[in-house]
Amino acid sequence: MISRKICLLGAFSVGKTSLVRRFVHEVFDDRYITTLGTKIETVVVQLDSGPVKLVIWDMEGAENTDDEADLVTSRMKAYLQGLNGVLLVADGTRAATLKTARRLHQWIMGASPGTPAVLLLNKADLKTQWQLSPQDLKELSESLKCFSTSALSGSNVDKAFLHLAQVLLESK
Amino acid sequence: MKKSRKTDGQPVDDLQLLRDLILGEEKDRLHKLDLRVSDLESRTSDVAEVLPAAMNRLVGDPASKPDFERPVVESIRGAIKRDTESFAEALFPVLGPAIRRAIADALSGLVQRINAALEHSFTIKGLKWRLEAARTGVPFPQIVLRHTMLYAVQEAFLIQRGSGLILASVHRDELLALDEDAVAAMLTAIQSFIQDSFGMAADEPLRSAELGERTVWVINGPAAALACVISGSPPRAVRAELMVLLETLHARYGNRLSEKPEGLSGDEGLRALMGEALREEVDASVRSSTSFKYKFLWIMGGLLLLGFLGYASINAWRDQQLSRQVVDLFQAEPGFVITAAEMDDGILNISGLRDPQAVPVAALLDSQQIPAGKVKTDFSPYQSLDREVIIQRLQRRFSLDPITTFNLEGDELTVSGTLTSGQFAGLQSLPDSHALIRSVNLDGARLNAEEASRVFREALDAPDSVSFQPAGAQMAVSGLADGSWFTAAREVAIEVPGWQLDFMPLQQNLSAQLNDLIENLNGRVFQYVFETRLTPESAASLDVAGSELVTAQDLASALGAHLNVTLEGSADGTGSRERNIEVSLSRSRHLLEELVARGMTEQGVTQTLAGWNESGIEPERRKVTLFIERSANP
Repeated sequence: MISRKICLLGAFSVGKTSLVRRFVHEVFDDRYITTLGTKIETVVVQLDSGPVKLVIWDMEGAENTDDEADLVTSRMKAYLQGLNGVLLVADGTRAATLKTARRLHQWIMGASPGTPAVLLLNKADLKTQWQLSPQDLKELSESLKCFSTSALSGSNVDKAFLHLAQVLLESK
Repeated sequence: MKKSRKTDGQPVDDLQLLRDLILGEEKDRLHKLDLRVSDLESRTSDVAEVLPAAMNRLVGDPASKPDFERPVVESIRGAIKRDTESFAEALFPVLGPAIRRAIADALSGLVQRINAALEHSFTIKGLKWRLEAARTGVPFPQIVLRHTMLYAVQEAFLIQRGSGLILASVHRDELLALDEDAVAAMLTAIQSFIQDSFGMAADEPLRSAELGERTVWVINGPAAALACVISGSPPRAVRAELMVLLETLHARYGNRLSEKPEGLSGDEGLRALMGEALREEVDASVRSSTSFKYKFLWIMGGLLLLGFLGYASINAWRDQQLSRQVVDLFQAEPGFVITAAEMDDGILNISGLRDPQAVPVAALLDSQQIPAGKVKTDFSPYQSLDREVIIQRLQRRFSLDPITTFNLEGDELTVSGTLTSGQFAGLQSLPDSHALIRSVNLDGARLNAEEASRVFREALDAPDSVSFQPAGAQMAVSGLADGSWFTAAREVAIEVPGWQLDFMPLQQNLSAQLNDLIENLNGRVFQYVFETRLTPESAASLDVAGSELVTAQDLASALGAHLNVTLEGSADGTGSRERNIEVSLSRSRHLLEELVARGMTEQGVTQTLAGWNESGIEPERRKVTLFIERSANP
């Protein structure tokens, strides 16, 4: 069976772990426990072209900083080795997290050009509190495949993961 | 610039000449080589000379082996596709032995596992391990293996450096295999985390980790790491052996270890090599004690077998005894016919026929203290011709008293006891309707007392003062009745089954009554005023006296007794003796006439004179005195 390593990247508290739990275990827990290092889950998804095993690396949150060394720590770089795809996660209610996600994307593209990436604008259940303008969203969608997701309700979560899995399979 | 001169009339090229002088020998050798290379036969001979040595070298060189194997494998694969039949024929002689050997190896492994499990099944240690297996959920053979092995590599993962993706994995037990991708990724993550956290260089990787009772050894190579999950305590030499294995993997697969993992998926060669990582070493001391344990095992097994056989035999014997006892019981009991009886799992299933009049099954089993749960019956109803059942059926049909008995001998039914008139009639007509009974003997039966009393009373037209009381086989007639009824009743012939009339009580009563009358009448005086004129009181008593005399005479007649009645006339002494005699006689005659007029029979009545007192007149002597006595015979 084909295996693919994908990493979830994003600022602190954007809901990376919740998205993984929602996708893998179909549960949601509103308690916040910060991820130290990385947590690894595996899940087999069935695509039209066959099954794919996703090895999901749920990374610790990245610092919201312009300094690349602080943005992507050496430990994180070690974790990112050999990744096949990346899920960038931002919190729609915090515009700064979107900025962090974009920086992380730029770093990934620099370190490993052509790596498939998808942006998840999380906390869609709090859309009334989002700080993203329509213009921001339009610009984002031009450069990245974006999904408005909610780990709470499960909205678009499966769709985002499956989309990345499909892209990874097509790019093999 | 090129110069030339002539030799033997021919122009000579100096340069060519120089060449020949300097390189002539090499040129000849080159020419010969050219001819040798161009000549196919010669070239074939040359290759044939070096080919065996070259192949041996390639096989011994791990780095070159894949390059050598690949075309060979591809060629064989292509040939098989093109001509499957030929290969099948060629492989046929080796397939059988190969399959047999594979099966033998598999069975050998299985027997070893079974032996190990059995060996520890009946020891205290074995019981401990069983408890451990129950507690942890790990299969017992696995627990045995864990405790009897010095060490065993349970799983081995070949992990791509950097990505942490799994390249290949092998497991000793597929059921207990971990999620290889998760393990590989997590080991990589841990390694990265430790390196980062402790500031270690990339060439100082994680070497081992302890996970409960297991150790994870990580053997790091340039492109991949070999992670082995080990139970027990392996010697250090094993690590060196695993390192050699990893080097072999690197040598054979090289850059392919750094490519996408699916490039190696399904590579049986890689899996086979990885399989070499699954090493193990068994505790020799455990094996050395097997002979004793086997003996113990055999003894225990033998005892268990004997116990089991004994238990089974006892159960079988008990079942047989129960079956025989129950079948005999039903067969001896009237109204049952057994058609089948078989034991099934300790329950005796009996089927057959049962007359509804027969004893209830539960009561029958209970009478022999046979547990009802041990016997399951399935009886269909039928009419039994057993004598007992016929009698029971008749008793039920005629609603007989328990004291009434039937006895069926041959085709004659003998009845003894008390019956009603209806039962009499029914039994008398029984031969007309019963298939087996041709005659009914009712000599021993009698009509019940109440009905018999009623029949006697009606037949004799008995007055209410007469009563009929059963006394043994006789119906005693008692009470009071007039003599004529008594006389007539004794003459009537009545047949009531089982009864005889006994008049003695009534006779005694009547005799006593007669005696009372005699006592009452005897000496009674009837006073006269003069001549044959009674005093008013005496005249008034005539009716009673007459009636009593009539009754007495009637009773005496019925009882066969004789009454002597004497009327003694008296006179007051006035006048002459003749006068007194005449008056006395006339008075006794007068009274006789008066009594006869009232129904008394004159027969047996005597008139006498009482005489008179000649010395004076005594008016109270104007009387007649009645004397009556009873004699046995006239």
